[in-house]
Amino acid sequence: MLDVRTILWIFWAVIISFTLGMLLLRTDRIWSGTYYWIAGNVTSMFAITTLLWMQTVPFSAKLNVVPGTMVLVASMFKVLSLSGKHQRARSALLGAALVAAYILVARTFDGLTSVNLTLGGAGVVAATIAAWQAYLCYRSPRWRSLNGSGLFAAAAMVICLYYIAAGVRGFNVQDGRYLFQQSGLAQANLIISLAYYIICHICLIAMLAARLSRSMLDSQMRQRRQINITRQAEQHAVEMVALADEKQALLDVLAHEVRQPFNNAQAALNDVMMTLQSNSPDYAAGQRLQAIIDHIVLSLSNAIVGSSMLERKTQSLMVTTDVVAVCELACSDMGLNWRNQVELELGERAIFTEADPILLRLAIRNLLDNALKHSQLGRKVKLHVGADEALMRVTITVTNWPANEFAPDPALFERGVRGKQAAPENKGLGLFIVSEVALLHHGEVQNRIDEQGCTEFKLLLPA
Amino acid sequence: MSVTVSHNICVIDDDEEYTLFVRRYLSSVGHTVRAYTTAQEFLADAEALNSDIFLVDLMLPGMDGIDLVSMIRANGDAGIIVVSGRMGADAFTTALAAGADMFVNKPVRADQIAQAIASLSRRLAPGTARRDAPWSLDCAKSVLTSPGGDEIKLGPLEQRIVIALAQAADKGRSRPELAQIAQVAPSADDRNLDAAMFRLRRKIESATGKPSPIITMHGKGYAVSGAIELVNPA
Repeated sequence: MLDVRTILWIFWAVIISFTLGMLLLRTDRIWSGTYYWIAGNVTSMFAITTLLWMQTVPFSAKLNVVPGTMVLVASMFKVLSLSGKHQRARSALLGAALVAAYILVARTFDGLTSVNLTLGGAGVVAATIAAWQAYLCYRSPRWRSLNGSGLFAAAAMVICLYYIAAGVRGFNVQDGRYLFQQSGLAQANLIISLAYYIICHICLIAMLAARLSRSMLDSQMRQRRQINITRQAEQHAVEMVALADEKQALLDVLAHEVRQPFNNAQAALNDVMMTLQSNSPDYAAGQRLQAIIDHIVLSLSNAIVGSSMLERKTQSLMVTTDVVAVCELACSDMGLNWRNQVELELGERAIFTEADPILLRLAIRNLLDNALKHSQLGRKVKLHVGADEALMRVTITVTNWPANEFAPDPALFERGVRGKQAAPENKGLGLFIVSEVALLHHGEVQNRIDEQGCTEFKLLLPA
Repeated sequence: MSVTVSHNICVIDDDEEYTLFVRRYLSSVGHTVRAYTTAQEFLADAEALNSDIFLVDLMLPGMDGIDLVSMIRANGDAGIIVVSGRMGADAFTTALAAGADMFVNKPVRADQIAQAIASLSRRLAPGTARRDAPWSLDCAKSVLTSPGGDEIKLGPLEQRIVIALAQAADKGRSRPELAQIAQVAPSADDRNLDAAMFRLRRKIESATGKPSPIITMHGKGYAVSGAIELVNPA
């Protein structure tokens, strides 16, 4: 039969092999307990070295507690490695308490009683820790149902039972060095412990492999789920775009169907008004009717342009544009009854800039409409076009005397925000369109109260 | 209301009622108006092409309005205003590319059309040369001459800028490159160059009433929109 020294050398070689194997396999990438496990192995190696040394150098009974303590510490490292990150601190405390209690009891009461607490105590504590390892392998969600975890738990339980038996026997052994010298019990102890080490390492490798494969499967499943979600989102986006296009097409058709009759109605009204005296009641009624049609036309234009702007689909066509001409056209867009209330001031004979004339005209029309709605009766709205050399911008400024108190607020240019005096049916699209048109032109829009107390809205465009 | 300058206007729109009303209004304010409801009718009248300003609808029976605009433009430099119910950038782009000067969306009142004609006629005022006539710069006299014959006296910096851009033609120059060639005083974000360009453009536009030949290439630099002939280069 193998002697104790040979078994210890084999034990040493086995532990070194498994430890190196774990380091080379870089199990730390998939398992946070790797270094605790290796710490356990290193402690075991020290324990074995101590035992080998005890084989040749006689030592006092006082040192009997050292190898047992190291074995217990090594077992506790294994417990820590098998525990989850969040349980480690608590497990470490509990393990430290167990080992400390063992040392304290063994060192205090050994020799005072006829019972060998060093050997017996070590067996009992080692059995407890082995049972703990078995519990972690069998019950912990981290290891449960993985290949090898059942065998690991079973081996731990077997060694637990053996340690209990050895511990019970150890209580009756009078010589504390009995376990560390050549004896049948020492050989049996070491062979069973070695077998347990080999089994638990093989099981651990199997468990880690299973864990890796499970995490790969999880990752693949997550990827598949992500791909499915992306596909669904893309499909949804395509559907939404198609829906938005259909809505826009319907809006265009509707707009065309409505705008064409309005075109003729306006022309007919123009024709009728040419035959009326400008001071007749019919002429005034005609002006009112024209103002209504103009307002509907503006609302239609705002709705069409606004809907595409909300979807950020507005295509602007930048061409060299005569800003003065656009302002003149925007003024002419006002109804006859409003037009006299707008005063066009030209800072320069001609100002050209790269702009979309249709959008720019609609923006200026909205600024004028807004100013006229909130202006004092009888006071003119001024539309000034100029070039600001300091800012290097073309400026289009609409100024009016406010009918009610006005506080400058950038939020007025946000969608759906209306002035305090706005009519309930007003959707707050007008100034939003002004702001969006400014953005499309790399410009900006500002509002303030000027030195005279007038409300001023200024559209600044790059020149 | 009556206009200060009377024009020969040609209206081509398939909506008879609308054409009638517009014709009546424009005649009442002093213009001479011819109206046609189909392209064929228009083409059959030899005199029609001699009009000063054309009002063209894009949706015409038998012939696309865009083709008609191209044909009118090929015939001469008359003003073309597209009056259409078609909305969107594509209609606008194709109309301008075909040679239209202005795009007006329906519904539109007759007096708005009269205003559009007034704005356009100011741009096409007497003295306006052919659309494709070049600008020229007399380097010895430092005088930039517009296609319409307007002369603008340039300062030394302005002349250097125009020469640098004229030599680069439609490729244009980046702002740092232009600032270096034109010897503009260095400044943060090329502000001195931008200020000089701003003043130069305003000077040209105020003197001619026409767009400056210098255009901005957003995020890149500046270029000229057409050729500028350099006379007496140094």
